[in-house]
Amino acid sequence: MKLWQYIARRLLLLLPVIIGVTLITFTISFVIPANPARAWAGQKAPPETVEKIKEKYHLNDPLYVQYYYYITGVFTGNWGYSHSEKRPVSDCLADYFPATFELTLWAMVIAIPSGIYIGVISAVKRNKLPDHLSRIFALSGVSMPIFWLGLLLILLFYTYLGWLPASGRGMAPTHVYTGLYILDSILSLDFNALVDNLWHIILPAITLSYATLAVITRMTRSSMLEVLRLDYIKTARAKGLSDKVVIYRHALRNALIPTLTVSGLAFAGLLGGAVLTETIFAWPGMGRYAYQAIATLDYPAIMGVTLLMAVIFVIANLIVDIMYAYLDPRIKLGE
Amino acid sequence: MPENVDESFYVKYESQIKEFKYTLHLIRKSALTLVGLALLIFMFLVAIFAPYIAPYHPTYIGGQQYWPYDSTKALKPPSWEHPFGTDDMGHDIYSMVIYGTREALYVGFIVVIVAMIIGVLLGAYSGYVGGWFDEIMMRICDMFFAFPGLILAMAITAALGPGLEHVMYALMIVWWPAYTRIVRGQVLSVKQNQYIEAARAIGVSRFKIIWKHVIPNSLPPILVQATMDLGNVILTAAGLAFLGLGAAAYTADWGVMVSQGRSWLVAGYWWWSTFPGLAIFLTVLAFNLFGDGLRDILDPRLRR
Repeated sequence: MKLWQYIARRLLLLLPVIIGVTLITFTISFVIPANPARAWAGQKAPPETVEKIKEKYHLNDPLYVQYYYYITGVFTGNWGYSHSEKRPVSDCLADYFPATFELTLWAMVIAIPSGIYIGVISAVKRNKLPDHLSRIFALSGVSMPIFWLGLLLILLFYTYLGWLPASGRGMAPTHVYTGLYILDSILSLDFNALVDNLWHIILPAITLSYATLAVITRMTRSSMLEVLRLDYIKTARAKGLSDKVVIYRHALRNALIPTLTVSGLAFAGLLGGAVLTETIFAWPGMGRYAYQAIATLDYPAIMGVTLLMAVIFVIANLIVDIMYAYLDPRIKLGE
Repeated sequence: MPENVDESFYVKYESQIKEFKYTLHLIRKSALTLVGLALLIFMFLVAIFAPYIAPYHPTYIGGQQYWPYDSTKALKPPSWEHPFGTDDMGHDIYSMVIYGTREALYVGFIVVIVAMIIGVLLGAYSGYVGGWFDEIMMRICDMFFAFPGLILAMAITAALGPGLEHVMYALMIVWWPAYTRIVRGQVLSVKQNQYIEAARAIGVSRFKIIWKHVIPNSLPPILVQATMDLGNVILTAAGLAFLGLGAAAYTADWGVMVSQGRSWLVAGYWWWSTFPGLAIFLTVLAFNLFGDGLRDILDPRLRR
């Protein structure tokens, strides 16, 4: 099977997964609240209003008909009405998505290279001091409540030292093209905004990246340890190649494949962590939107964020699988 | 004759006892695992003896059991009287953190045990019988795996309404598919063994084979997973509490405390959020240290 065939097949398989995802969000949003119309209208609303809402949202129809309306809505961009923002959920998500995307992107930019680097050092210096330190560092990362880490960083760098800002994204660049402020400020040559945006993203990006960094460090370490034991590494050393070449050229290449898989899975942690991080740093993304929606009982907003995050996660894993197939030919040949 | 009984016991279980002793030896050799174990034992002791350790009742406000509110006791920094300071109502944070241990461990254990039971039953059955049941089960699991865990738990709890009980239901719903998947995988590999085939050949019932042979042999990886998950569940529950989905305000719950103290932290009242957060961190770290060590010890490939 060629790579493009593999990609096409995986894209086709995406559809049932997304339908499965909508089945779950549908179940949560329509079945669990005993009387959604009453919940939306409010406790004091007269019965006629409740009845009207029931009619309007097809709540008197059988479940499968409701699901049909729901899923056609999902695929045509009708994700419901967000009463906390008084506009459609899809508009809100379109506004907030770039901020979350920018934050997670920077967290990945921090986490992946440093996680791989620390993991390699840890494996090479197995059972020596750097290894112990990096293992403690990594275990702390997976154990750290992300919101607590964020608060500690705010306490240190904002409250006490006053070096870094603790809320928001900073000033908007003069032209907003993509919604990614740092990219936009470079594109519009607005260097004041660029500095301000970079300044604002440091703390949230570090906060969000730590857990992912830890996961990547651990995986790189263990797969490096496996690879370093193999015969071809001994051969490479016997040929007289330098340590650096053996480790980075020969061993790391193979060791990175499991790390890649884990990065895809760690993306879930990144999305979940984004909700907490955005809440702490008042970062105007989907996570903070969800947090505010919880406080105002804005269910369509919560379900919208949930659905979109699941779709992003599924797509991220698809990308990882494709990269995996590209890096490891056995995947697509061996079926 | 008791001595004889002992003798036969040793003969019968010689290999198991050797294995157990060797495992203990490995645990003793691994410093980080020991640290994790010690921390866990400490947490359990704190949870059990909370009323004797805590200087105040968690709802006790300077001088009174509940009300009136005494402003001279509110938001005091750590001191001998209040080692972790007080909150804006005058609660002793040290006592609340100690009582919070109970809640955290309670949530962790109940959620993991329920998820594990569901997972073991469904996974074992699914893996053993295979066919359409297995196919449907695995597709249902896939649906759940498509969600980031915290996000799905957040949506479910939001729909059910905030509250500790609802957080626990949500976490069970999020966690059972992972166990189903692991147990199924284990069962598929255990099923290949000849002793299972032998059991089937002599007419042992399907239920008995699953219960007596398949499940016990797939337990080690499940236990490792459960140990790590105890930490993860506590961490996720704290995250939900932080988002305002957990227990009510002024409950002795670590996540709630961090969340409530947050708005005061920037103004310099650092203790309210810091100490409960540290408690979450140390508890989760303890489970991870122990689980990590346990995995290395139980994994035959890494043993020698």
